[in-house]
Amino acid sequence: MLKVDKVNFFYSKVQILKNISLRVNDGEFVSVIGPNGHGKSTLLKTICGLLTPISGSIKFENKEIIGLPVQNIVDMGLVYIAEDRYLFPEMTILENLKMGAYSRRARAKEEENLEYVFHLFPKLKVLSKHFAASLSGGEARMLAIARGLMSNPKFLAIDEPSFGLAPNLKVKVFKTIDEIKRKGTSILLVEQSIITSNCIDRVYALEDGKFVFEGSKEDALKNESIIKLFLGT
Amino acid sequence: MNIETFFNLLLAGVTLGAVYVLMAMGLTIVYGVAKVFNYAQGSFFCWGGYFAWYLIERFQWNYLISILVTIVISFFFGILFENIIILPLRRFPNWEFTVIIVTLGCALLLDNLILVLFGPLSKTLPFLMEGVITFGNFTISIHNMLMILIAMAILVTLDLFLKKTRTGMAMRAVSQDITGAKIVGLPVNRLYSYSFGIATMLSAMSAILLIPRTLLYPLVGWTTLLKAFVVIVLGGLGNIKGTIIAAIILSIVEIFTSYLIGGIWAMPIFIIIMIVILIFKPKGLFGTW
Repeated sequence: MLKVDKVNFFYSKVQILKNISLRVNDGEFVSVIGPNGHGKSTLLKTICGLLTPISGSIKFENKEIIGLPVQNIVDMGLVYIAEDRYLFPEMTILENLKMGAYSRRARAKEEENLEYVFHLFPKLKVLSKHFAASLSGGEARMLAIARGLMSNPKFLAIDEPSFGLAPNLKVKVFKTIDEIKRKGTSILLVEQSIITSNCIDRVYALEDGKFVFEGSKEDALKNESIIKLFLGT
Repeated sequence: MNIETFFNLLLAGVTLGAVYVLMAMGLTIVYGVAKVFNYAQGSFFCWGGYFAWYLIERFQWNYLISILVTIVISFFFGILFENIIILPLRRFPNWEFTVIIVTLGCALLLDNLILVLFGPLSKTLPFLMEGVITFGNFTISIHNMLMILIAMAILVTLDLFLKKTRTGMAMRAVSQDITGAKIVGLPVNRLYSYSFGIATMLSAMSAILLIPRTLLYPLVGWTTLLKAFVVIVLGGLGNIKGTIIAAIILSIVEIFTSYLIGGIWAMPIFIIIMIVILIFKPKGLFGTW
């Protein structure tokens, strides 16, 4: 479904992504792990269209998406949920969610998705008239994921959804992502740690802008250099 | 000063405030959504006036049709302006600063174009409607009354548009978080265009309301622009209620100042008020977005 091929990205003169190639097949849950500052967020931002790489190709459902405006990519069904959330602070939860369903594809399913999202995150329904600026860290994370779901994604690119959350919330977030995966959405998850979800199909390890490992989750946990990568930092 | 004069002055102030509010709203919307401080807004105001004048005087069109055509054309002019002049600049770093110089340059271009096309002599625009209405001791011109009613109607419509329509909400979203707007798939370029279209339309409407009371001359937009700027500083960029209150207060001050010590003192008093308020409340009377 998503095919990233030899992508390079520079920020000013610094190369952040070095010859990155990855693929996510239909319905797969792929995780990219790596320490902070090594390019994980940049990778997702490049895939979703916020950033443009200097070379390489990114194909979504066999269509080249490099250079397309973000709104077109969202319309195709590729939705990015950022670590920074980027919520609309002076709009209510409900309004934020409505904005998530702006694209034509999403608008058709707005009622259905709203119900689904409130089922996944009942707290959002309770707080639906509150302004996004008044939410706690955990609630804001939930809203960011919920808003991404309102865009009716076929493919979700999620950036560190559990960062800074209390352990019980972390668990809840990953259970929710698992449920989303079970419904058939393809997922590309970026995280610092590998201990996130049981439904992960494949893992890539990103170090210093390059992939240093690709394989199943079990193989990753047995791999010594991977373990060093995470315990060593 | 007797009570009659007082109320007449108050009224003149409020009607003037109506115009400043509309201009300030235009500036606010363009700044909030498209992130452009549009120095050419005064020239748009001026062009609105001259365009209407041309249709009325040269083409001899019906007044109502002329102003409606002017308003519609101003909307599309705003859209063109954003797409042709501002959009290409966005891809460059530091474009927020470049764009200020560019809009200033466009203002000069538009002003001089007016001078070339229409000449330096002042012209006039007709009132919305001639005549006065009397309530007991009190007389108010129909045009002034319409100014208040129309400005209120425009503000209410604008408010409903921004709060209840999908496009209006999208524009608010863009003004609050542009990256968030992109990742939910909002058509940001189109929304930038709409913001300019709306702002230019508001300038044209202001011109049609105000110019009949003053005169139409090539630099007529600048005083209104500067006053709208002070309104925004006081009321808070983006704050609708603050802008309305600031506009009414400032325009009443302007009218009373003109009456008591002369029109020349209006602008200096504005600046003094602005400086004093900013010293105590740097974010304006009501804060920012």
